[in-house]
Amino acid sequence: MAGVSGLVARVYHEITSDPQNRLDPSVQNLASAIAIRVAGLHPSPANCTLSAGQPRRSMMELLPEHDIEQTRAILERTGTHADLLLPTLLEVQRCLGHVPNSLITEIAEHFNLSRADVHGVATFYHDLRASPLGRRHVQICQAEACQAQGSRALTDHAERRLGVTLGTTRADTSLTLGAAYCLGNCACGPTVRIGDEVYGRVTAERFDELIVGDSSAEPRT
Amino acid sequence: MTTRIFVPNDTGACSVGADEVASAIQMAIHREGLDAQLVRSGSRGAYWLEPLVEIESDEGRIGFARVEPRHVSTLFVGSPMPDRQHLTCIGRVEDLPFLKDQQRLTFVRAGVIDPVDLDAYRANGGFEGLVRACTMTSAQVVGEVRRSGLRGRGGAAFPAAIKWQSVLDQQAPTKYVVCNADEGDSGTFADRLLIEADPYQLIEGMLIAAHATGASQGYVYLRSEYPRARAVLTQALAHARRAGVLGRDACGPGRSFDVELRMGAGAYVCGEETSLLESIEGKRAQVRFKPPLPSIQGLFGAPTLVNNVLTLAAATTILAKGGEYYASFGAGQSRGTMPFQLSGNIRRGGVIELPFGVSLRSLIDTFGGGSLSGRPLRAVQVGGPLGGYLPSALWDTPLDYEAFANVASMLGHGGIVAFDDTVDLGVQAEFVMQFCANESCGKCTPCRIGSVRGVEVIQRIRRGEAIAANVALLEDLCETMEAGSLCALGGLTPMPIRSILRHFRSDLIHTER
Repeated sequence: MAGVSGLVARVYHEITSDPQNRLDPSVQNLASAIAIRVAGLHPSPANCTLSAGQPRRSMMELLPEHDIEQTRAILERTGTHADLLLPTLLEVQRCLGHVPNSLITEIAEHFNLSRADVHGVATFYHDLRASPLGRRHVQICQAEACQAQGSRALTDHAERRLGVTLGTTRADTSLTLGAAYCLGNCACGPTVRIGDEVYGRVTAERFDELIVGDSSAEPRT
Repeated sequence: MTTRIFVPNDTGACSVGADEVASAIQMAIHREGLDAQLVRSGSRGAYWLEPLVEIESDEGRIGFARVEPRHVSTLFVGSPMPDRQHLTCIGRVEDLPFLKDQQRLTFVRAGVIDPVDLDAYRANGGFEGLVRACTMTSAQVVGEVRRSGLRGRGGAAFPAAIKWQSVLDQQAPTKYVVCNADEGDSGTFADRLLIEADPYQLIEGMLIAAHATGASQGYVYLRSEYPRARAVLTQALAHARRAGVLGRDACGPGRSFDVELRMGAGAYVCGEETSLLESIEGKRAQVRFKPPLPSIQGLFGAPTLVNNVLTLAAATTILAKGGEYYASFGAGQSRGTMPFQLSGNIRRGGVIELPFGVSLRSLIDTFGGGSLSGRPLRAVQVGGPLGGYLPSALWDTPLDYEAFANVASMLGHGGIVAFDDTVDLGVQAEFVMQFCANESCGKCTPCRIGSVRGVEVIQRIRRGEAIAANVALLEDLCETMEAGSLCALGGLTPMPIRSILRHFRSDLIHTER
């Protein structure tokens, strides 16, 4: 089973991280559903019907229909003024972990906008993404104040420790290592953000402590 | 009497363990049966001391710095006041030179009170400005701001009163006040600290601005990188609504004003006011052409006042104490105080609010205490990622807007980042171009394409390819971006690069291969 999970994870990652987005959304969703069913992969939303840290979704929650249902529930409690588009996309992402392309039509219709309008907004902002992150989102600040306090060396250490390069997700989708450009903690750098928690004065040793406890973050041999 | 123990609850303090210290203290209070109360305050902004625990005494608050959970059992032994000989004790917090030598007008309550306690805000001078503003006409309020000489604290330093007057002059059924809390510049964190430590001051500032301009709705646009500021402000807005500070008749009978919090989504360009307005409208945050200015045709086409967090906060002091009082601080055309934010490779980093006019060197040496690494400092970047890198020969420049413009640099939002002699400014030059390429909204060509070409040219220079020709090309490109970009992102990206070409040329230009 573990071998199958690994394979599925790789295929899933290949499909969902396709940078050109050439694939039909239905194929992406199918990949997503299979990946979740076989390998138990899912993003970690907070305070939605799914709670963070929940190991597996139920059957219903595995399917693309679930994403649509969640999105409909969000749209139902949201007005139709177009200025609410960005908050809505952020809320969809909070619940689903990403904003699947397959939902663009549904959202566009709600606001009486074109699909291009919604796609344009969804692809403009760095925070919004069309494919899920790993279960843990670890960001290391790359901006100048943290650079002056050794964030580059810390980033090198993190990449070695976690076996990923900055800006990528591990094949088993356990973790995404990302960049942040200033977390406003400049006087206590280098700064790392994991989920909504911000950690300061992060040395290589402290970084290792922070990711300990998550077995998926064990170093690659 | 119950002794109050203050532990900060802001991003900086909690990033280095304040939450863990607070729970350890809570347990100690219970275990030792102490007559003490734990209060989560904001931070004073003396970040090098965090987690800084403060305990009330007859002589004022006694500070215990860099407290770790393991210290708590030796701090509280049968008494809520620890032994003053404890290794973490720094004596009276007010006597600390780092704080005592500041001139705090805006950050006077930061770290002193529970940020969301409305009564504490009132008891410590809060709402004095609003109360006085309500006895004045809109024009009088704008006049007070004009007399203060206040200039926009976001970075552009545009005279605030001109914006306020311009919105007031518009005849429109709806007007807006928008607070720009998209503090994206690296090395700046004063907006965040203000929101996390004293959010009602921002709300009061927005109410004053609403009264002065006739606006009925406010927005705070806060960046997503500040989850804790979001939580604090959300709570403060809810309290303010419940107390009737916001909502119906907030600006007097028949004049309502409410504030809605909108979150950003990781776009640096949203710090530019017109792209911020586009973002609140739910669109791609592309910069607008000006004119029309936002004060005439801004959010949803209505007259809109867009001000930075610190500009709106300064309005509370100006209205409470008068424009002349505020203008009595500062130098030249830069009036009042500026919360400078010292960070990077520095021993004592944090928020240092001072009147304009002190030298950069005194800030770095006296307040900052030199480099953290112990190595000599080599370059200081002032004004965020788009500010110039200054060599030590220029550190005697007084911190005011014009003096910095004279050395082809800028104060911006007051961020000061120190680098020791291990820095490679060639890397920094490439970094800022790449940053611009990542963050460009794409509307204008000099920024969108110029930044990408800029990265390539800098890479060629750093590799030592056809240096003379490529440097000429880079300088030409800088000129094009400065003159042809629609907003400050493309227009200012050349500033650090030019400063590196001027002052640290050998870092960028190695020998030709």
